[in-house]
Amino acid sequence: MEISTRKEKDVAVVTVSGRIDAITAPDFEGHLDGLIVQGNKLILINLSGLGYISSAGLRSILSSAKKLKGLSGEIFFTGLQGPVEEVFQISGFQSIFKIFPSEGEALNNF
Amino acid sequence: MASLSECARKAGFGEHKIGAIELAAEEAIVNIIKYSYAGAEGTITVICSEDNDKRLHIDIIDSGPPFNPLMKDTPDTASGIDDRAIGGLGIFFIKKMTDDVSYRREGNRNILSITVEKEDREQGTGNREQK
Repeated sequence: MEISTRKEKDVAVVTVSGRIDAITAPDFEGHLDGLIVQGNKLILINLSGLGYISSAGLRSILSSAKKLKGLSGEIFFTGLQGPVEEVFQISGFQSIFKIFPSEGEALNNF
Repeated sequence: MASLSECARKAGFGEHKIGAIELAAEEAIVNIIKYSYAGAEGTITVICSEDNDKRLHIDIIDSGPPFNPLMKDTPDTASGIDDRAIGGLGIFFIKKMTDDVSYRREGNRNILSITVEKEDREQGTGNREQK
Protein backbone atom coordinates (compact mmCIF):
# COMPACT_ATOMS: atom_id res chain seq x y z
CA MET A 1 0.00 0.00 0.00
CA GLU A 2 1.23 3.47 -0.88
CA ILE A 3 -0.38 6.66 0.35
CA SER A 4 0.24 10.22 -0.77
CA THR A 5 -1.55 13.38 0.29
CA ARG A 6 -1.75 16.86 -1.15
CA LYS A 7 -3.85 19.87 -0.33
CA GLU A 8 -6.24 21.45 -2.85
CA LYS A 9 -7.70 24.56 -1.20
CA ASP A 10 -9.55 23.18 1.84
CA VAL A 11 -9.54 19.59 0.69
CA ALA A 12 -6.92 17.00 1.63
CA VAL A 13 -6.61 14.70 -1.37
CA VAL A 14 -5.41 11.24 -0.36
CA THR A 15 -4.28 8.91 -3.13
CA VAL A 16 -3.91 5.29 -2.05
CA SER A 17 -2.69 2.46 -4.24
CA GLY A 18 -1.94 -1.24 -3.83
CA ARG A 19 -3.94 -3.16 -1.25
CA ILE A 20 -5.83 -2.23 1.88
CA ASP A 21 -6.14 -5.52 3.74
CA ALA A 22 -6.07 -6.63 7.38
CA ILE A 23 -2.30 -5.99 7.45
CA THR A 24 -2.25 -2.50 5.92
CA ALA A 25 -5.63 -1.14 7.12
CA PRO A 26 -4.32 0.11 10.50
CA ASP A 27 -1.67 2.21 8.68
CA PHE A 28 -4.30 3.65 6.39
CA GLU A 29 -6.56 4.51 9.33
CA GLY A 30 -3.57 6.04 11.13
CA HIS A 31 -2.89 8.23 8.10
CA LEU A 32 -6.51 9.44 7.94
CA ASP A 33 -6.59 10.05 11.69
CA GLY A 34 -3.37 12.07 11.36
CA LEU A 35 -5.08 14.31 8.80
CA ILE A 36 -8.09 14.71 11.09
CA VAL A 37 -5.88 15.62 14.05
CA GLN A 38 -4.16 18.26 11.88
CA GLY A 39 -7.57 19.88 11.44
CA ASN A 40 -8.49 18.71 7.94
CA LYS A 41 -12.28 18.66 7.67
CA LEU A 42 -12.64 17.59 4.04
CA ILE A 43 -10.84 14.47 2.87
CA LEU A 44 -11.11 13.24 -0.70
CA ILE A 45 -9.82 9.70 -1.15
CA ASN A 46 -8.79 8.71 -4.68
CA LEU A 47 -9.03 4.93 -5.09
CA SER A 48 -8.17 4.72 -8.80
CA GLY A 49 -4.88 2.89 -8.08
CA LEU A 50 -6.28 0.55 -5.45
CA GLY A 51 -6.47 -3.10 -6.51
CA TYR A 52 -7.92 -4.67 -3.38
CA ILE A 53 -9.83 -3.74 -0.25
CA SER A 54 -11.26 -6.06 2.38
CA SER A 55 -13.68 -5.46 5.26
CA ALA A 56 -10.71 -4.41 7.41
CA GLY A 57 -10.16 -1.49 5.03
CA LEU A 58 -13.83 -0.53 5.09
CA ARG A 59 -13.75 -0.66 8.88
CA SER A 60 -10.84 1.81 8.91
CA ILE A 61 -12.65 4.15 6.52
CA LEU A 62 -15.87 4.00 8.53
CA SER A 63 -14.06 4.57 11.80
CA SER A 64 -12.29 7.68 10.45
CA ALA A 65 -15.50 8.91 8.79
CA LYS A 66 -17.37 8.68 12.09
CA LYS A 67 -14.64 10.70 13.86
CA LEU A 68 -14.65 13.32 11.13
CA LYS A 69 -18.43 13.56 11.09
CA GLY A 70 -18.33 14.28 14.82
CA LEU A 71 -16.17 17.31 13.91
CA SER A 72 -18.58 18.37 11.12
CA GLY A 73 -16.18 17.12 8.47
CA GLU A 74 -16.59 14.60 5.68
CA ILE A 75 -14.76 11.90 3.76
CA PHE A 76 -15.67 11.44 0.11
CA PHE A 77 -14.35 9.36 -2.75
CA THR A 78 -13.34 9.28 -6.37
CA GLY A 79 -11.71 6.71 -8.65
CA LEU A 80 -13.87 3.73 -7.76
CA GLN A 81 -13.23 0.87 -10.17
CA GLY A 82 -13.08 -2.91 -10.51
CA PRO A 83 -13.03 -5.01 -7.35
CA VAL A 84 -12.94 -1.94 -5.09
CA GLU A 85 -16.16 -0.64 -6.61
CA GLU A 86 -17.71 -4.08 -6.20
CA VAL A 87 -16.84 -4.13 -2.49
CA PHE A 88 -18.27 -0.61 -2.06
CA GLN A 89 -21.45 -1.77 -3.77
CA ILE A 90 -21.94 -4.97 -1.78
CA SER A 91 -21.25 -3.27 1.55
CA GLY A 92 -23.60 -0.36 0.86
CA PHE A 93 -20.68 2.09 1.21
CA GLN A 94 -21.60 3.43 -2.21
CA SER A 95 -24.78 4.88 -0.74
CA ILE A 96 -23.40 6.21 2.57
CA PHE A 97 -20.53 8.20 1.05
CA LYS A 98 -20.44 10.83 -1.68
CA ILE A 99 -18.68 9.38 -4.71
CA PHE A 100 -17.50 11.49 -7.63
CA PRO A 101 -16.50 10.38 -11.14
CA SER A 102 -13.29 12.44 -11.06
CA GLU A 103 -11.08 14.47 -8.71
CA GLY A 104 -11.98 17.62 -10.61
CA GLU A 105 -15.70 17.12 -10.11
CA ALA A 106 -15.19 16.31 -6.45
CA LEU A 107 -13.10 19.45 -5.85
CA ASN A 108 -15.59 21.65 -7.72
CA ASN A 109 -18.21 20.54 -5.26
CA PHE A 110 -16.49 22.36 -2.37
CA MET B 1 -2.49 -16.05 0.48
CA ALA B 2 -0.11 -16.02 -2.48
CA SER B 3 -0.22 -19.81 -2.79
CA LEU B 4 -4.02 -19.73 -2.73
CA SER B 5 -4.03 -17.28 -5.65
CA GLU B 6 -1.52 -19.49 -7.41
CA CYS B 7 -3.81 -22.51 -6.92
CA ALA B 8 -6.74 -20.58 -8.45
CA ARG B 9 -4.56 -19.30 -11.30
CA LYS B 10 -3.36 -22.83 -12.12
CA ALA B 11 -6.98 -23.98 -12.16
CA GLY B 12 -7.64 -21.36 -14.84
CA PHE B 13 -9.46 -18.73 -12.79
CA GLY B 14 -9.31 -15.15 -14.05
CA GLU B 15 -8.02 -12.15 -12.09
CA HIS B 16 -11.50 -11.00 -11.05
CA LYS B 17 -12.34 -14.40 -9.55
CA ILE B 18 -8.92 -14.65 -7.93
CA GLY B 19 -9.56 -11.28 -6.24
CA ALA B 20 -12.87 -12.60 -4.90
CA ILE B 21 -11.17 -15.78 -3.64
CA GLU B 22 -8.44 -13.77 -1.88
CA LEU B 23 -11.06 -11.57 -0.27
CA ALA B 24 -13.13 -14.53 0.97
CA ALA B 25 -10.02 -16.24 2.37
CA GLU B 26 -8.78 -13.09 4.11
CA GLU B 27 -12.17 -12.53 5.72
CA ALA B 28 -12.34 -16.15 6.91
CA ILE B 29 -8.80 -16.08 8.33
CA VAL B 30 -9.25 -12.71 10.08
CA ASN B 31 -12.45 -14.08 11.58
CA ILE B 32 -10.69 -17.13 12.97
CA ILE B 33 -7.91 -15.01 14.48
CA LYS B 34 -10.45 -12.68 16.09
CA TYR B 35 -13.13 -15.07 17.29
CA SER B 36 -12.03 -18.69 17.20
CA TYR B 37 -8.49 -18.20 18.54
CA ALA B 38 -9.47 -14.84 20.08
CA GLY B 39 -5.90 -13.61 20.31
CA ALA B 40 -4.38 -16.96 21.39
CA GLU B 41 -1.86 -18.64 19.14
CA GLY B 42 -3.06 -21.32 16.78
CA THR B 43 -2.61 -22.84 13.37
CA ILE B 44 -4.78 -22.14 10.35
CA THR B 45 -4.61 -24.52 7.40
CA VAL B 46 -5.85 -23.62 3.94
CA ILE B 47 -6.45 -26.42 1.44
CA CYS B 48 -7.21 -25.61 -2.16
CA SER B 49 -8.39 -28.16 -4.72
CA GLU B 50 -10.13 -28.22 -8.05
CA ASP B 51 -12.87 -30.64 -9.10
CA ASN B 52 -13.82 -31.91 -12.54
CA ASP B 53 -16.66 -29.45 -12.75
CA LYS B 54 -14.64 -26.22 -12.99
CA ARG B 55 -15.06 -25.50 -9.30
CA LEU B 56 -12.45 -24.54 -6.75
CA HIS B 57 -12.87 -25.87 -3.21
CA ILE B 58 -11.13 -24.08 -0.38
CA ASP B 59 -11.15 -25.52 3.14
CA ILE B 60 -10.04 -23.22 5.92
CA ILE B 61 -9.33 -25.19 9.07
CA ASP B 62 -8.57 -24.15 12.65
CA SER B 63 -8.38 -25.96 15.99
CA GLY B 64 -10.10 -23.35 18.14
CA PRO B 65 -13.26 -23.94 20.17
CA PRO B 66 -16.39 -24.73 18.12
CA PHE B 67 -17.33 -21.59 16.23
CA ASN B 68 -19.67 -21.30 13.29
CA PRO B 69 -19.04 -17.91 11.65
CA LEU B 70 -22.04 -18.34 9.35
CA MET B 71 -24.38 -17.88 12.33
CA LYS B 72 -23.43 -14.20 12.53
CA ASP B 73 -26.15 -11.70 11.71
CA THR B 74 -26.19 -10.10 8.30
CA PRO B 75 -25.09 -6.48 8.63
CA ASP B 76 -27.50 -3.69 7.79
CA THR B 77 -25.94 -2.41 4.58
CA ALA B 78 -28.56 0.32 4.20
CA SER B 79 -27.82 2.31 7.37
CA GLY B 80 -25.97 5.65 7.29
CA ILE B 81 -22.60 6.63 8.77
CA ASP B 82 -23.95 7.28 12.26
CA ASP B 83 -25.87 4.03 12.62
CA ARG B 84 -23.45 1.85 10.74
CA ALA B 85 -21.77 -0.71 12.97
CA ILE B 86 -18.01 -0.87 12.56
CA GLY B 87 -17.32 -4.39 11.37
CA GLY B 88 -19.52 -7.38 10.67
CA LEU B 89 -18.97 -7.28 6.92
CA GLY B 90 -16.40 -10.06 6.58
CA ILE B 91 -18.68 -13.10 6.61
CA PHE B 92 -21.20 -11.21 4.49
CA PHE B 93 -18.44 -10.72 1.86
CA ILE B 94 -17.61 -14.44 1.89
CA LYS B 95 -21.25 -15.27 1.20
CA LYS B 96 -21.56 -12.64 -1.53
CA MET B 97 -18.27 -13.28 -3.34
CA THR B 98 -18.41 -17.08 -3.50
CA ASP B 99 -20.91 -19.63 -4.76
CA ASP B 100 -21.24 -21.75 -1.65
CA VAL B 101 -19.96 -21.69 1.91
CA SER B 102 -20.58 -24.19 4.68
CA TYR B 103 -19.31 -24.90 8.18
CA ARG B 104 -18.73 -28.17 9.94
CA ARG B 105 -17.05 -29.35 13.12
CA GLU B 106 -14.83 -32.41 12.75
CA GLY B 107 -13.16 -33.69 15.90
CA ASN B 108 -11.44 -30.67 17.42
CA ARG B 109 -11.39 -28.70 14.19
CA ASN B 110 -13.59 -26.00 12.64
CA ILE B 111 -13.80 -26.38 8.88
CA LEU B 112 -15.14 -23.64 6.64
CA SER B 113 -15.62 -24.91 3.09
CA ILE B 114 -15.87 -22.40 0.28
CA THR B 115 -16.77 -23.24 -3.32
CA VAL B 116 -16.12 -20.91 -6.24
CA GLU B 117 -17.30 -21.60 -9.77
CA LYS B 118 -15.09 -20.61 -12.66
CA GLU B 119 -17.87 -18.87 -14.53
CA ASP B 120 -20.34 -16.46 -12.99
CA ARG B 121 -23.68 -18.12 -12.57
CA GLU B 122 -26.46 -16.71 -14.69
CA GLN B 123 -28.30 -14.01 -12.85
CA GLY B 124 -31.67 -15.46 -13.75
CA THR B 125 -33.92 -14.80 -10.80
CA GLY B 126 -33.46 -11.06 -10.42
CA ASN B 127 -33.69 -10.17 -14.07
CA ARG B 128 -36.93 -11.72 -15.19
CA GLU B 129 -38.80 -9.89 -17.86
CA GLN B 130 -41.20 -7.38 -16.47
CA LYS B 131 -44.66 -7.52 -17.97
